[in-house]
Amino acid sequence: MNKILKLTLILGVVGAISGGALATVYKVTGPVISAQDAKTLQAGLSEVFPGDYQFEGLNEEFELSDSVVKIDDAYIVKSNGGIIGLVLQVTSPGSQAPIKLLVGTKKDGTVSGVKILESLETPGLGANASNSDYYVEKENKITFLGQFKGKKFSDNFVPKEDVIAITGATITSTAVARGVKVAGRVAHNYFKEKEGSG
Amino acid sequence: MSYLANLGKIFVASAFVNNIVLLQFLGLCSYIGLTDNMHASIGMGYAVTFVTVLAAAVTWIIDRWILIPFHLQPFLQIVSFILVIGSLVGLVEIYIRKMSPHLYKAMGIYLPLIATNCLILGVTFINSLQGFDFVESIVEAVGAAIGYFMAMLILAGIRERLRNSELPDFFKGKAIAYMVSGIVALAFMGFQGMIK
Amino acid sequence: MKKYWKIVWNGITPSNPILILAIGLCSVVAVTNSVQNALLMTFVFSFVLIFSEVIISLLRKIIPGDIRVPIFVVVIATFTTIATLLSRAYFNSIYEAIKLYIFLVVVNCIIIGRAEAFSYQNSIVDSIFDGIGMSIGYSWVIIAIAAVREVFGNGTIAGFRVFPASYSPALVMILPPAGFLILGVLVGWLEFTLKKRKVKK
Repeated sequence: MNKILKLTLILGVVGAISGGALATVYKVTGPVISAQDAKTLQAGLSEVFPGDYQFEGLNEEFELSDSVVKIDDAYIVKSNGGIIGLVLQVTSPGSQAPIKLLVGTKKDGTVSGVKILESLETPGLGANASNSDYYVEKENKITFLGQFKGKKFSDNFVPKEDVIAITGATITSTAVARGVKVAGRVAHNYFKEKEGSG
Repeated sequence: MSYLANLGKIFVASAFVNNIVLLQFLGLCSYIGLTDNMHASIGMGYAVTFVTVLAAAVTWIIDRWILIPFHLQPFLQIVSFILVIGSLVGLVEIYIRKMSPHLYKAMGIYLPLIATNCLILGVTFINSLQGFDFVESIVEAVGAAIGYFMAMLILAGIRERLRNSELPDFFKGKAIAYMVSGIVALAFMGFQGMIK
Repeated sequence: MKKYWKIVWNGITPSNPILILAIGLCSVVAVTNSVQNALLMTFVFSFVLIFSEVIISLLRKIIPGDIRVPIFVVVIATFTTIATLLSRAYFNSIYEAIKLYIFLVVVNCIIIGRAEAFSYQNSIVDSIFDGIGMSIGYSWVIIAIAAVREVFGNGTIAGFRVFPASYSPALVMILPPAGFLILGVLVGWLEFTLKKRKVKK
């Protein structure tokens, strides 16, 4: 019994040292990681909603039309004090891990841009979704994400109908299209509500 | 999509479309190491199935109820998951040896090998990355385990036949096993169309 | 000096962890679709292996034999987490693509195998050289596979274009199954050359 107690104690000490070391490293790298994330987010925001505008975080619960797509964050786009758009961070289930998207929406009812923040899709197939050299329409050099620009919220967003799918990656194409669709619906409701109240 | 359909999708995805061994490359050590023996492949298959499901359940609880609420997840997840799985395997081994000598004979000797099998830890990380709830995690684990079992049986069967075929000497054994796996993996990619 | 060179060389070919011992394979097949991924993996692997070997060798006299494996695991897991945090802070975009396999370095059989078979019995200096040798042995294999796959599958090496843009890439090379195929060819080729050398002698 004594021996077991001693071994447990040693293991406990080793565990405590390791935990302490990790907490220290995390304290140092944590700020770098969050700074990195903030930078990526800022770059993403101005990519999906190009132009010189201010972005402001929005704390609001949205009603969703889909059970598996989630809205993580929302940012309102302001120009001269007036709201001209909404950027939503959407999570849609991909083929291996959830795909995190940023969807920019304009007040006139169209999508201003889409960007993939995080995804673990198959290289060569689904990963082409975020590849800037992969064109779904070669003649016009339109990328998979590029084709969403200017689409109306009321569109169907179904691959092989009004969305051109990535060859060999139906799951990825559907997941992205679905995320954009949900974001569009949410934005539509949001703008309508604002109009009504203001 | 209803909740049940979603579970079905998770299962098909982890067993076929993203087969854990052939397309996500987890558990490869035992996949290449044990499949020259059909009997061992089956024993390992049972042992992995059992422990994966158990580990998915336990690590889900730890992740959701301890690591996330106390903001420990970014730096303690790896350490705690591996320790939990290690102790779980130890406990299961002791329990089986006491309770069922027959079962112990079938899968007991494979249990120590499992503690460092990347499949089990991999599944628990996938569950955490995906943000699955409890039932989804279990379904993912069952799917992954079945996918592993299937891959083991397929490769063991092929290697049994390859033993009698005429191959250049230097391709015998591991080299051909890798190449066969590559071709089987290509075939599994054909399952992509099963889910939308 | 000769002794150290021998330890290092041992990891590079005679007991190359991937080609000869066939352990630690998950990451080899999974992250080799691009050279960048392979480089980050190499960094994480070498970092974890060398530091774990040093610590375990340092503590080998006071680690009780009965619980050595759990202690190895805690040490390795600690360094894996540190490597994860570092790569997340400084190589974020590559990290996102292969994070699952970075986590799984903790159960990489090469690392725990070297801890048990080498550094638990040898001095710190020997352990460092063993760690370096094994890291080089691991690195050259995965970088070589990644280079072949990226050149043919995408026409680039580490993002730089090698083949002209008009080259139509062999998509299969960056799809998951090609990892197996190329590993198979590499293992076969190595056994072929080893055998030829033996015959000559």
